[in-house]
Amino acid sequence: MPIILQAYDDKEFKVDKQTAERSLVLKSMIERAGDSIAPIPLPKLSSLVLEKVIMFCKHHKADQVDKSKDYEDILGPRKMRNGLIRDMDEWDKEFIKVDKDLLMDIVMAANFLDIKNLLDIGCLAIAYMLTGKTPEEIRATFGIPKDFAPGEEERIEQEHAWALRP
Amino acid sequence: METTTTSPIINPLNLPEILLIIAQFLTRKELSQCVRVSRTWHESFLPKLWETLDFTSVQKAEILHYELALKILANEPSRRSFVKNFVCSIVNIPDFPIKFLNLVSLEVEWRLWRNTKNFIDFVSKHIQSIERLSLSNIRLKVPYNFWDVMLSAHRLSELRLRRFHIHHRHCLQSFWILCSNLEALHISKSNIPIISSPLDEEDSPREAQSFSRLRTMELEDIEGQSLAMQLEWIGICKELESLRWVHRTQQSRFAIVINNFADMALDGKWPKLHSLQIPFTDIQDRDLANILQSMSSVRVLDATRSRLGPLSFQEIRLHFNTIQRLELSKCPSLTSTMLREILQSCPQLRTLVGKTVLCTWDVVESEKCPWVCTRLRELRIDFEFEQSGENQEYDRAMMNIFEKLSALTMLEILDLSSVVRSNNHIQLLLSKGLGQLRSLRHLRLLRINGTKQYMSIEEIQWMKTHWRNLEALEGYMNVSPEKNQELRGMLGWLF
Repeated sequence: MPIILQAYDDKEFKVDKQTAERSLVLKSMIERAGDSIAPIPLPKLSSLVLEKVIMFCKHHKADQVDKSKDYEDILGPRKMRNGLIRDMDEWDKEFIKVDKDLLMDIVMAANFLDIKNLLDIGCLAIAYMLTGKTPEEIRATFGIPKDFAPGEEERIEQEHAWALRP
Repeated sequence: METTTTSPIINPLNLPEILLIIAQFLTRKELSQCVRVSRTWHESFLPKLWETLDFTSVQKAEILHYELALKILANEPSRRSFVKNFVCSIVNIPDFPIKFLNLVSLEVEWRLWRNTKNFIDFVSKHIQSIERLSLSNIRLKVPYNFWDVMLSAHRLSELRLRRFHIHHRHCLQSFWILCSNLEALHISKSNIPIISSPLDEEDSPREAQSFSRLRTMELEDIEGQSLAMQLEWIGICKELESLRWVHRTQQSRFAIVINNFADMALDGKWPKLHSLQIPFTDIQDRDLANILQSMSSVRVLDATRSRLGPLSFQEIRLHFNTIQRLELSKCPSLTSTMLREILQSCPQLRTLVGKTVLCTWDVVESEKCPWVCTRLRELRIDFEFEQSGENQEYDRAMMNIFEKLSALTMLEILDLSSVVRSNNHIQLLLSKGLGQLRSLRHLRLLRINGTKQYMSIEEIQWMKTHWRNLEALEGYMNVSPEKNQELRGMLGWLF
């Protein structure tokens, strides 16, 4: 029996159970509702984002377990980032090549729906966008207000001068 | 659906739970920028930034920064609780009376602690939380009560000793008891005097339990314990999954002991063993085959300078699907056909070291069989062409090699260096097909020592454009010293 998901603009998506269950939130809803499951409203997700999320879950619906643990075993934590992006399969790499706003929405959706793999891949993509940026550039890129008291940022900078070596 | 209220758009980058995930993908330097972005970011990234304090190879000019960091640690309890891994070596850091509440891993070069009593105090303070301890020591005396103190480290699961000498005989007992409860033990270039073999325990119940958790063991150039005693010791560790055993002196003696090791393996002493590194043993083909036969799966094999031949290779074949690391340099009986078969059959392979001549015609003949080891990170291999008058043949073979290499897109280390003096090495020239290697975007190290190369400015330009991660190129790029000098100058940042 297909599950019906409703985006906030009322657009409906039919997905099979296995696909929906990549999301732990949906999985528990489905389990609780049993066979008589009503359409699930997802008012926080636009249809664009929901479509993207469903695409990911569909592609990964037959995945066995979370693979990220394995990467860490092989590569060690220090090399994890490079290792992950390279071991990330081509499909995922292409999937997450989206503009910044959509990336943020996907990460929010993955967090809200509890889809660990998608959350990891999204956060990795964000981590990549952070590399080489100064705090000011990071704030400008992601629209984060600077809420430090005067002189506070300088104090934090001083405190971590030891960490600047690669 | 009712859209009565439009909730403000939440930026995921203001959510600590998201920031925590991002933090694990960042380097220390990047983290130090992130903590300066906003208050939420400061709070979220701070624990990760302080998680590992690495005082390795600090330059003199930076010592001030480190002293400042230590001062902060002394004054701010919250920072102290973040520190999980503490590494200090090379730099002479002051002994300090700090306690890290959650310290898990400690890595120390002993001689840097001017006052060993302070060191023991430091370890004592962390004895409840510490899980991994790594010590290296430049022949200084370890206080006699050190191992007695360590006995109360109930969480300790991994111990690494390097250039470490146990002088006091009476603390050996404590040392053995400590070791017998570990999961991983690495000892290299160290001296452990004989008092009693670990087997000579008077009460048998303890004997039955000891070393029952040990899964990883490394013994490298141990003094004080005879090889036979080392074997006896390894023999007690029935849960062993990974063993590295190296002994560079007394090679003929080691060959005999390794023969006994093979017999014990065949008897089923180590049913869980999947990683075996026994380089420089001169082990016979049949013995190696026996050991491999006893292993239910093989992930790592280092048989450098062994007599690996058809018998062991037949055993290796059974594990092509699981093998991740193979080191087979200087094995006189290893053939290029075997190497080719490995490249064509091991999908999990990350490292292949096989400094044996690989005849290119082999590769050409197997044109239709691709190399499946596309996860390979490190390839150390000789490509040696047979003498051929036919230039076209030579070019075709070269193209073919480049094509095969181009599939290994994760390669970080490519070592083509050679000890064979000849003119028939692989030529890294665009005209010969070097351009196919533009897919090797992750290449960090290229070695071409001992090969005759004729590169020009074009090749270097091409490398700089396509191999952005290249950190080093070792060897002559051109047989002419002047030309080579010029090309080196072009590379600039490479040594």
